[in-house]
Amino acid sequence: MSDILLDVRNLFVEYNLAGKRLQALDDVSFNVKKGEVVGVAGESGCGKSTLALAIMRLLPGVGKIGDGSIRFIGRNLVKLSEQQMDEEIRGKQIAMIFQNPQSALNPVFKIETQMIDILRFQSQHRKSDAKKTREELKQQAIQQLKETGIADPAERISNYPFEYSGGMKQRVMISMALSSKTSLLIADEPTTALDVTIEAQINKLLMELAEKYQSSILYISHDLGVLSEITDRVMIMYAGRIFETGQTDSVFNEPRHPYSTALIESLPGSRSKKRRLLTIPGQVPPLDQLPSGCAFHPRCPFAKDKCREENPSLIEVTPNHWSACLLDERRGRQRWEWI
Amino acid sequence: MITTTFANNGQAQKRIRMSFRRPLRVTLAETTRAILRNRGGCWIGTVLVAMMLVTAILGPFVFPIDPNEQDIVNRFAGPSASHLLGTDYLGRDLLARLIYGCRIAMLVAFGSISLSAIVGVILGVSSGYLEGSKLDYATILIFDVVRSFPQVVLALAIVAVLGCSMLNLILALAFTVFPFYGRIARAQTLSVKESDYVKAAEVMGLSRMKIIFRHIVPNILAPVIVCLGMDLATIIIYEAGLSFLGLGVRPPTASWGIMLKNGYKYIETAPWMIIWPAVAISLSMIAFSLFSEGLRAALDPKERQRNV
Amino acid sequence: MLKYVVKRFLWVIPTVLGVLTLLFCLTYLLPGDPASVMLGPRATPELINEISERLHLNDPFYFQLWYYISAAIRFDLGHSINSGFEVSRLIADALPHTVVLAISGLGIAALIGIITGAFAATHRSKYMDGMITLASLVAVAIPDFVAALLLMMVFCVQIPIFPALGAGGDGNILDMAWHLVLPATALSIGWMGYMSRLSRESMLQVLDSDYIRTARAFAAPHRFVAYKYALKNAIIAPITVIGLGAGKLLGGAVFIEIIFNRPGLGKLIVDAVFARDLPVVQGAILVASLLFIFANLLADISYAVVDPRIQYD
Repeated sequence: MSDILLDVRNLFVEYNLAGKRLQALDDVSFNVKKGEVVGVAGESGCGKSTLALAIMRLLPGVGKIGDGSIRFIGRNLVKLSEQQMDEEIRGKQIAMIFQNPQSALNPVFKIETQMIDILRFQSQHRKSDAKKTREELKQQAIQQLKETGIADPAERISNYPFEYSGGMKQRVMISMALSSKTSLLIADEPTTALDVTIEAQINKLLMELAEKYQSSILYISHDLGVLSEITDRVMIMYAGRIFETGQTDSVFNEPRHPYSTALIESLPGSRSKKRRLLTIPGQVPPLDQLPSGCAFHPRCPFAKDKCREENPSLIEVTPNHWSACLLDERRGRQRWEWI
Repeated sequence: MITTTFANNGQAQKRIRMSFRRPLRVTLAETTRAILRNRGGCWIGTVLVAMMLVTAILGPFVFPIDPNEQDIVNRFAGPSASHLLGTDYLGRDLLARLIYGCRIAMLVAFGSISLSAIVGVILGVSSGYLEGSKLDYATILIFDVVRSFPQVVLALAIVAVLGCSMLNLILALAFTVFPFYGRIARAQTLSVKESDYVKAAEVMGLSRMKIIFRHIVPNILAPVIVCLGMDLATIIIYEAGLSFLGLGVRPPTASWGIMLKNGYKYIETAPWMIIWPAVAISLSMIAFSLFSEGLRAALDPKERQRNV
Repeated sequence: MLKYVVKRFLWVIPTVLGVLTLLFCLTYLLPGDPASVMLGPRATPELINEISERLHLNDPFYFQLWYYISAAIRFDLGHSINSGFEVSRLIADALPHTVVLAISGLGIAALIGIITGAFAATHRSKYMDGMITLASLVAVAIPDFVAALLLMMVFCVQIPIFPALGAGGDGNILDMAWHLVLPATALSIGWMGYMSRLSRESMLQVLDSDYIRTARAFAAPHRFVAYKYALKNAIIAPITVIGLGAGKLLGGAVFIEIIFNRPGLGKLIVDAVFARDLPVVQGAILVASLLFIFANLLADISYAVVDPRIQYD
């Protein structure tokens, strides 16, 4: 129990847009252990980014944490004040890197200035770090850049962000995030906006540094291929709920939820060449028109009447493998055959 | 827009003609629909502008008092039953002068703006379409030269040369403003002329004139229309300003600027002479600002236009 | 950066030439004979001829244009018809007043405008935000001469605080500054409102951006975020507009100088127009537009300084 880093229990997050109340996260519970890489999978709009922002307490003004707890090393982050979040959590124990590196850095300041500023923020509340001079911080920043594989860091640190490529900017972000030896790194689709070849490099860099600094990673992505390779455990979200979660191998090889099954089977190559590519009929419901009961039931070919009435909760179908489907029973192997 | 190859010439021609006919109608229809739907709250502005137009057109016919009728006995009077807004230094009714002044303002504004918009758009589109040519450089130079003068000063000079009358005022103001329309039109043309339907028209051999007028112009009108709204307001101000200096409309025509000029002379005795035209000018500015803000919000909801 | 500045400078030359040409054309098209106008009713045909020869009035258009331009480059703008003084001297006397007025107006507008706009964006309480927005809408709606008249009415006539006319005693800086307060304020009001709205929108857009989110994710303190980080980005938009403002204020200065009876380029131009003093009109307008061109040049260059991306265009 003591190696659980992040413990989210029954988290509800809502958005108040133009008078409408949208439930972005609905009773979400999961945990991340020390040294683990946990993946969060799902299509656009399923709540993955909202989850990340909620943990960091960076939700936009219209978002609000309704109920539930986010425990991080024993403290409930929901109850902390903004100042405490700033002093102890953000950029220090929990760091986050974002999806679009092109816009994540301030275009009118040099990389050098931004990195030094962040290093200052990170050390300003730690009594151990004595006040460092600008030159010392600059050297530290150059070291960090070198660590993430940027060539000529001493020269390039004086550049402006627009002189860096997307991959390089993401490396800068990663170096800043993992610099303070954070315990948990939240990566919100870090490689979605990058070329495929760069993607592999960045992911490799992330894994290496995480191992070196013994940080856990909460890796959010819609790319199941990447998730299957780098994560230890994974959870699949839909309409703000977790449909399935468990060890990555277990979830990907033997998915138990109809939605997960379809997702995994819809990857090209996962079915024999003779069969047509699988598509899930219908569309992800907008948050203001969520179906009753199980959010997936209108699109699920196996749905029964009770699926419309009852919202399923996660049940442990095999050891360490949970699925939220009313029709799943604990006995034996059960697979959903999508045609 | 046009994906078919030109296999069957007759059919392809028909399809192209249909998709071309949409732009002009679409722009106008879009604008009216957008206004009616009150996107961006342009109702207030539109209503105010409409009220001003009605006042300008019908007011002088409907309002019983003559703006030039002097009533020396009652000069410098404050608001009263017979003179709702008071009288000026010659006893003329201020409300009547305000209403006739509205007509002058509208005439000058719409006159000069239409003139300058037409000239500016034609020049801008032509130069944009022939990008890089000598005509283009010459036109840009002309635009820049005219824009190098502070508008008021240039209008002043032109009126000084041509003489003081409403027509000359309209011409002078139009001259100071046409480069702005020219630049907008040119910038828009540069982006529009790379569109598929323009390329298709060129391939089909349509004459340059036809391409410019039928296909390019309707599609660049959106920012021009927005600019129109704002400029109407500023022209009203310039007319008032120039008349205030004595270089605009000729007295005793009632223009808001002339009313201000008279008021200035008697600033210590009759504040009403200044306040009413001041309010009228400010209100008209607010009305047109709201109107053009609404137009802008209605016409490009997604696009962001930076400095042109 | 240097390349950009040089290029920008070079474009000024054809523009100035065009300006000179346009000005010359205006006077060339003036109906009537300049020589007889100058000499007045005592003109005899011989005198008219002599003057015409001396002023090259009988030469073809291009010659006259050439004489005019070459004289202007040497700062020889002719002599005033009415007073006989050198036009360049008259302008040199009047110019500083106008420049001081315009710069004060611009400075007040920029300072108060940007600050109120940024304030409205960072303090989203409905009350403050609404008030500032309303105030800026009203400020933009009132033209400068109207504002001047109203200010004069209130602060000079009704409650006599400020002096209404003139530029103040010579040499006495404080007196001159005191005389400057009302005119500069009147001039700045319209532009102030515009800057405020622009600054507010710009700040809002910046505060919403991804890089501000990154800063917050790394625990940047709130005040730092607003005032150092976001401001530099938000300021770009208002600054690019300052050149435009210089032009507007130069035009507005004309009215302000007339209303407050201050010496300056505007008053010079208007008085000369009424007096049909052509050389003065020409010369003063030329200088006014040169100022304008210069202000735009400065604005373009300052834009490049503030936003490092621009240099590479």
